[in-house]
Parts: sequence; structure tokens; C-alpha cells
Amino acid sequence: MIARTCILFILPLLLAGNANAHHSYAAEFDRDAPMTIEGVVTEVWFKSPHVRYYLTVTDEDGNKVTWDTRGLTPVKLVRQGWMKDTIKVGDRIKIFGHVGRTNKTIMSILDVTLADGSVLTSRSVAYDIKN
Amino acid sequence: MRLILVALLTFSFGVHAHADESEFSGMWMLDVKIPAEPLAGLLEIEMTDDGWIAWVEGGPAPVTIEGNHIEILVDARDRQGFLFQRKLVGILENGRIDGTLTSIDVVESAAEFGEDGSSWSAEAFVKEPPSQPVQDISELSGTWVPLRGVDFRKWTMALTPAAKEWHAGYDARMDEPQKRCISPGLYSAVTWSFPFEIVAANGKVVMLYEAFNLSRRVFTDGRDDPDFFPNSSMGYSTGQLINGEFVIETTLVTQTVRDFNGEPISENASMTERYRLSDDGQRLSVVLTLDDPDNYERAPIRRRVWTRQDDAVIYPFECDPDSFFRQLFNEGRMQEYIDRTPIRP
Repeated sequence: MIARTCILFILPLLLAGNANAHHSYAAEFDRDAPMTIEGVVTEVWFKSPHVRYYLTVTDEDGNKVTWDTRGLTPVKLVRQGWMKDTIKVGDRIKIFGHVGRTNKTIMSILDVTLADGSVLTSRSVAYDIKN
Repeated sequence: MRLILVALLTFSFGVHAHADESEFSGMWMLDVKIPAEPLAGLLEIEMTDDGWIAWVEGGPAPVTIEGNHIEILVDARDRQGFLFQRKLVGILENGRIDGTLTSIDVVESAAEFGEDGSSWSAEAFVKEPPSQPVQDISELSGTWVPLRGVDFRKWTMALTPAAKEWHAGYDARMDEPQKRCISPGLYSAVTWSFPFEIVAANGKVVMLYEAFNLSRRVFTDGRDDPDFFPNSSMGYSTGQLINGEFVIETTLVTQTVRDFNGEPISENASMTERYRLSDDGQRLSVVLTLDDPDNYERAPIRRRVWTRQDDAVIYPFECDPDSFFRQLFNEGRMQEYIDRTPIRP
């Protein structure tokens, strides 16, 4: 039985890891080590292309560090009931997400846990528009 | 005598195996039966002097063929934008390939799980007219909400050498148009998961996209092309009904990038959208083909499907690049951003 494998076409597969560097998300965020941070919201940016929450987080050494976190675009969040005033300045929240590869104080939000324990998700999920 | 028998059997099996392999050549329609997200795609297989080569949706897909056994690797991105691989292993029997899909290197948090073990099949590609032809363009009018699935989100395409060189210098962190609230263009408008509205009237179809507040006019009155029309991110479009499909041809686009991988789209590109309605008129599907010989040796293909939901509201898309520039400033990369201006799409 003759096996014919196209070596030339294996090459792009081997280089697939490098392709990640070209995409903003994969280039900016570490996919393999999602983590949780907790802090106080200092600024809410509820606009496209991505919502952002600036957060003051106290690190292990007791230093206060500003984190720049971002989620989906507002038009997707509001359809889940996640509105502009759902998270306000002064709120203490936990954010679970992907941390920046080089900038270790940026995070792409997957979930947010509010002070009352409720969890918001900022993941691209099945579309279900109910206006 | 036994030697002759062995030789005959060997020859027989050899011829049989070779015949099986040759049946893989051609165009196939892939159907991946993922319960929550069925996928469809065009698989093309060719035998060359260097062996078998394959493409899925116009992009290279490493393939191994042994007898009636096939294994294909298809790179894709998940919804978060992370790269992963789909391995399709199958058997060709009676003119049809059946097999199983395995996902490789998937990020669980990116919600791309659930594919592993899904069955898939491929049958010879035959372009058939829709079972329910569009009789009048006005049937398309309405608000359309994206559904999951159908599209492979194939990551790499068959770039020309010039496009590869350009792409090697592309840095999506700073160059992606949407990051600074610039229109990502027609290709993105059609393929991204946002609702849109179609208004068909007075010799044209107006398409209003939620994403980036994009809009376009598709002229359906058979008019001649204008003497001059400026290039723009949404291009110049004409449309007509052909064999029950609404077919839009678009030219005069501006340079931009294709999907999150950032492969280039040139001003010389043209795009063909083929829209179909489901039998009950409640689902709209499209096959989008990008013809851009400057950048692609084989035309990339994307697919989308929407469901009619006329009471859905399309929200305004208020985009402000301030936070993007603030991050660049905080990271000390503003000068790098400015230096990249000449090569930024």
C-alpha cells in the first residue's frame, strides 16, 4: 500500500504556533493560564470595540496595581442583561480571564463575579437575541 | 505455483489500493455533525507529483491517504480567537467518506469543546439549486440573527509569496482596523456574528449591519457600472437572482485584512455572496468567496447562517478608540504605532 503524504503541506501545521502571533487576541493574551484577580473598579468604559474595566488590585507585596481588563462589545453584553451600570466605579469584583503575554496587568475577561456572588460571562456563546 | 499466486494476489491488492486512492481526487462537500454547531465546507483533493494535497474552504489542509483511509488536519480559530486543529479521519467506501473528528489543542475556556468524537462525512460536491428558490428579492427583507456553526473558521489560506511577506510583518495588536474603530470591511461584516437587516426596495437592497454601524447598497436594477465610484471598505455591489439564489458581486473595496489572522485583502479583490433561503423562509445562508489573486492562490470561502427574527433590535455600535490608544501610551508603544502607519491597512 502506497502512502503519499504531502510534506510541503505539513509545514504550515508545524508553524501554526507562530500564526498565533498575528492575531491580536492570541498575540496579546496567554491562552494557557487563565487566572482570577480581585479588586475595586476605578473606571468603567462601556463602549465598543470592547468594554473595559480599570481595576485597582492589591498584589502579593501589598502594592496597588491598576489592571486594564476588557470584555465583549457592549451590544453582545446588553443582550445578556449586562448593562452599563451593572458594574460601577467603587464595586469590588473578581475577574477570571486570560492575562496579557507581555503586559501582565491586562486581562481579557471570561467571567466576572460581583459582590453579591452573581456571575456574568463575557464569552462568545450561542446567539439568542431576545429584545 | 505458490509464488505465482502470491504475485497475482499482491498485484491484485496493489491495483485495488491504487484505485481506491484515486477516488479521493476531486471536490467534496464536508458535513461535520457537531450537535450544537454543525459545520459545512468544501474539501478539494488533488494528486500531484509530490503526493496528495488538499484544501478546506480554500486553505491548505495537510492530508494523508493510504488506500481508502484519509486523515486531514484543518486549522481553525475558536470564538475567542485562539488557534486549534481539527483532525478528520475517515474511510472512503462506495463513493462516500465517513469518519470521526478529533479536536487538538483546544482551549477549554474558549468554549470550543464538544466537537471531539463527532462524526463527519463527505460526498462528491454537486452544486444544486436551492430546494426553495428565491422568487423575489423582497423575500430577503427582514432582520437576521446569526446562528452558530456552519463555518469552519479556517485559519490559514493559500497566500501568494507577496501576501506571505506582507503578512509576516503584520502585527494585529496594532494593525487590526477594528481596534481603532476603523471599518473592518465587507468581508468581516458578512462573516462576524452580529445581526443585520435587509431592506429590499426600489431597485436596490440595503443591508444594515450592527457591527460598526456598517451599511451598503446593492444595486439590483441592472444599471451599468458608474464611470467613477471610490473604493470603500464596503465596496460597490450589484446583485441579481440566479437559479434561485441572490448573488451579489462586489468590487472597489479598500485594502484590509481577512478575519483575525490578518491575511491581506487588496483593492483589486472581488467578493461573491450567494444567499439562499430555507424552505420555510426563516433561515438565510450565504457562501462568501473572496477572489483576490494578488494575495491568494486559491479563493478563501466562508459560510454563515442566520435566522429570521424581525422583532430583534439592531443596536447602535458606538466605537471609541480611546482605550486602545491609552493602552499603547501606557505600554510605551505609541511611537511604534506611528512608525507602522505606512504599512497599516
